Amino acid sequence: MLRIDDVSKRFGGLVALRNITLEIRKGELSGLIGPNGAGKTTLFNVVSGFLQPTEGRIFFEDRDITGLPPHALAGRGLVRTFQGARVFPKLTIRESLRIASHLPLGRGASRQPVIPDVLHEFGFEKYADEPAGSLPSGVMRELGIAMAISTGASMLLLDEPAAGLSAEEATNLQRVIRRVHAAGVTVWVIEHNLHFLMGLVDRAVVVDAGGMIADGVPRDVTRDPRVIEAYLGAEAHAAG
Amino acid sequence: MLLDIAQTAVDGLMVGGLYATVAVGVTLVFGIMGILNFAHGQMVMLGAYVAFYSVTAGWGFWPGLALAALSMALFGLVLERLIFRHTLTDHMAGLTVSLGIIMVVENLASAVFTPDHRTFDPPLTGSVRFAGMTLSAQRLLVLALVLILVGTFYLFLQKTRFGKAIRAMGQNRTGAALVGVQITHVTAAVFAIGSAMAGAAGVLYGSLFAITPYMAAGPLMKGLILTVLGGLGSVPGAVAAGFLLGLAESFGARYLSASFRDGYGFILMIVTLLYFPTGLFGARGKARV
Amino acid sequence: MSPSTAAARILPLLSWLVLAGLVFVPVYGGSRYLIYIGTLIALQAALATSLNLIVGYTGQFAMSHAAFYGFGAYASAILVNSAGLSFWWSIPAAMLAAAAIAAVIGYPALRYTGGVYLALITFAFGELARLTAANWQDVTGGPMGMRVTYVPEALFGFNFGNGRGMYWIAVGMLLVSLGVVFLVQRSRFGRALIAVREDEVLASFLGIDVMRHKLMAYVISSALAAMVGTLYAPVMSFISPDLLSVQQTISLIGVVILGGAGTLAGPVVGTFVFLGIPEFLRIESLYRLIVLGVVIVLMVLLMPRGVVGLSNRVLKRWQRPAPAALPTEAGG
Repeated sequence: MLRIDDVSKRFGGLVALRNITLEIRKGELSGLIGPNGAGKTTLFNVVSGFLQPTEGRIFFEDRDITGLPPHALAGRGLVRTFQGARVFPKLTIRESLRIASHLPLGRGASRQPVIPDVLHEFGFEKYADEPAGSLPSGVMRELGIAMAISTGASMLLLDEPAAGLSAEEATNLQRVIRRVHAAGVTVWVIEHNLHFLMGLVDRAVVVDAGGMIADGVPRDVTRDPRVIEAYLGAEAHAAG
Repeated sequence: MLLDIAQTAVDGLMVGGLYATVAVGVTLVFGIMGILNFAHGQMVMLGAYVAFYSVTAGWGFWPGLALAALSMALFGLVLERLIFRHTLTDHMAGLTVSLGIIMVVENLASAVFTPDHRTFDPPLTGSVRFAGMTLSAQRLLVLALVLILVGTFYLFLQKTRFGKAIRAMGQNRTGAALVGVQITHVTAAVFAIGSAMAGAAGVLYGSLFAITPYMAAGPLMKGLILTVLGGLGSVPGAVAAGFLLGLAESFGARYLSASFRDGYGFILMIVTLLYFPTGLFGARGKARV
Repeated sequence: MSPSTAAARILPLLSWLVLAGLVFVPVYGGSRYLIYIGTLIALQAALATSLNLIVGYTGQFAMSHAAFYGFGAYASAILVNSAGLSFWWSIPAAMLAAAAIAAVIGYPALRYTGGVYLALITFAFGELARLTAANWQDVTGGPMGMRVTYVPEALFGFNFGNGRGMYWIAVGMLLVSLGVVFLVQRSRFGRALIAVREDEVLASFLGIDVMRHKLMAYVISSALAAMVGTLYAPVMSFISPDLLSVQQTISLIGVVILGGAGTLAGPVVGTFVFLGIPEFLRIESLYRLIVLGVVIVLMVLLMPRGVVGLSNRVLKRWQRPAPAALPTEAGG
């Protein structure tokens, strides 16, 4: 579904991504992990059209999407959420979902969201008319995902959705992500909280210093010496 | 011919310097607070009136100049405390509120001072002959004063601790706070100093041109143009741009079209906004976020 | 239905009816002065309404609105005087020209700038337009302005050439502006504009082509401003470059904020409060502006959503069922 072909990203002299090649298959629920500064968000930024790759190409559903702007990608079903909860703080859930679900698309009719009545599915009824900025953080994260779903997304890139959530909120979020995945959406999640991620995904891609260092089932990946080295190494540096 | 050019150049420098004195306040406030204070021009107008009343009351030009600077500094402080302090987070709100302030001050001034054109006798009259050129003495005085004002301010920014604190804040607000810069003090000071300079510029404007309650529009526009040309937040940029613009206008008015004089600045501003985000001078100023 | 909910439902409707009723006052009120004032209020309200589209709904501070207003006046006057076009045909002609210009300057302005920078660049374009009008002696009559001696021709048997006729055209233009904003407000396009206003980046990641939406809003508002401008010429019999000045746009923005940006009735209410009430009380325009300025400052500091926004919020609170409502009650 999503094919990343030898993608590199340089910022002047800094190499943020180095020859990344991987493929996410339709229907997968995968994770993207790595120590701080490894380039995870940069990779998402490149894939979601926020940044242009310096080299390489990206394919979504076998069509070349390299260099397309974010709104075009969302139009094709590839939607990305942001770290923390990025919502429209002054608009209500109802209004936000309405905005998200009426996107004009280049060709043909709007895509149908995989979950038709997101408001009820996600249990937002009691908050439906509150301004989104006043909601509890866990609910805001779910709203971010709900909006993404409402656009008719077939693949979601979730950027650290669980950051800063309490254990209970995180569990709720896991449930939401599984629900969305079960409805047929391909999901790729960046997360720092390994505990959250490993109990959720079928596959994990690990990056460090801009390059891929592992890719496989969570259990294997966490035992991979290079992965351990990357995390411990980073910690050793942090400890100074 | 050469004389002509020289005269046009001197005139351009003088006008440019005046513009720069006003622009310094605008660019500094924008650099530090992110607020585009459209109401800055009002200080110029009020400063001119202070000088006018000072001269007509018999106190003289120089006390008038000092009074204008001081009173405008105070006024700037009041505005910052009461109003702009609260719009730090929302820059558009800051702009909007400054529009409201313009409406109040301008029209209040018109009601109180009446819209009649006022003038006062400048301290120097007549002209000076220099190298075959005939230059108005007052204009030379203005040029000298402007250079002193701008030069002193520049030294203040570069050499004093407080000046460095201001520059630090302009570069990185949080960083500055972390190293102990008193944000609120600096903000208040910036407003006060900028307004004082605008007030002084107003006195100088008043010594050369007619004073009306609506005279703020011209200096304000130049201030905005220079802020953009020099790179938002860059004082040296604004000053350099000021002299450049003054020269461009002076030569344009002399050799191309006089009535389109104000247009040259706007064209430059548009071009800069589109193609030179950090201002015409590159790295010094702030790029747009 | 509780009495407060009923009131909440009826109040907006009632206010629209009152406004509608007010429309007829100048005509049956008898005096020429009343008609003249009514025409000016209608024109200003139409201007404010069209400005609301780009400023209130899309959140872009475009300071060039008055310039397009003036452009409409000049363009149609020039077309009528030099090309012998009928007034009625000059309206779409001026609007098309304005739309084209708005597209040309809007594209780079909106693409490469935003926020205060957009305000500055549209301000600059506006001032350039004013300077052009003031200097292009042959075409625009220069700084002294242009006399306008024509009036709208009769149409469908109605005489639109007198004060009363032109008043009805002004009301018509107000209705057109309101109509456009109304249609936009409840459309997909309108919702996208709101998303752009609230958070551009988020909007683009949800699939909204931010640039296209901003540009469309800018072009539509500017074209509507030009439309209103075409009527200004015969009503005032005289146009001057001051019409394009930034001061005008600034008070328009003030009026929009006063009434409530991003609401349909806001600009109309704002214009009425700003122009109508003082006019009826014979308060000089000077003091009006001072009060408007004070109100703006207070509003920004205390009440960011304007008069209509505030009353909308109050009404919504009345409308919503009490939080303790049982789950069986229909949602919303």
